[in-house]
Amino acid sequence: MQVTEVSASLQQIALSGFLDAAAVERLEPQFAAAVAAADRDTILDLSGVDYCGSLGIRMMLAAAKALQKRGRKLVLAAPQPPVRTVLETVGIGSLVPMTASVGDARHQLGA
Amino acid sequence: MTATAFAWAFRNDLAALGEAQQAMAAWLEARGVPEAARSRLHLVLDELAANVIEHGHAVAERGRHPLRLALRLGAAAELVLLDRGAAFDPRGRGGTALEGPLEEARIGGLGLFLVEQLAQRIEYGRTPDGWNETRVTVALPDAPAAPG
Repeated sequence: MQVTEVSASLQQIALSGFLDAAAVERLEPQFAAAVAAADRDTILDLSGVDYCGSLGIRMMLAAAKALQKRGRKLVLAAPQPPVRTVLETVGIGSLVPMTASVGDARHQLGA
Repeated sequence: MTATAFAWAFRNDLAALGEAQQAMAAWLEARGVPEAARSRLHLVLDELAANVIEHGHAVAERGRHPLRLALRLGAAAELVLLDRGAAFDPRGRGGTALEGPLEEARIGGLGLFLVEQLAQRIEYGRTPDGWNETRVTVALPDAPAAPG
């Protein structure tokens, strides 16, 4: 997991590898802390993620809810096709915006 | 085709599930199973076993109960998971896709929904000696290249 502070109002978090149940258990405390620590809109760069299961999706939804409570947004960016298929199957797009690239996500957030 | 079967026993914690996933992935890759099918099987095992680990046993019992995985490859892949958690029939429990708004959306329970979307068939039974037996059939787009 790599956190980049893009500006005073925007951070980018890049995840990589397999977001399966075992990986999410290891990653979630660190990820939730990064989301909670920053009062910034957050782009979640999924370009390095090879697989995402329901616990990964739950982690993303929890982050989106936590940010929304502070008036901030989460945007999911650049998922690979298999990950995008899973995200679309569960209908996450009705809750959290998803963009084809990190550039599109920045554009959507006005950055 | 030569019968091809994989078996793995592990404990009810997520790290042990991760090891089971690695072993299954290596076995499937060695048999030439295409990535799309490997990914589907990864998801089915992940969601079924994570459900057992999170809900089938008390949290204080983490790591103390056995799960058994068996996988057979034929015209389709058949994944069988046995566990000794609370009786649970997963059929028809997946619910629906997510709907907005975000602040009201459920945050869990998506795993069985995904399994239902990917599986050809889901069967369930409780064995006389107290195991849940969940059997999921997943399509294999191409026949595996190297049986055995």
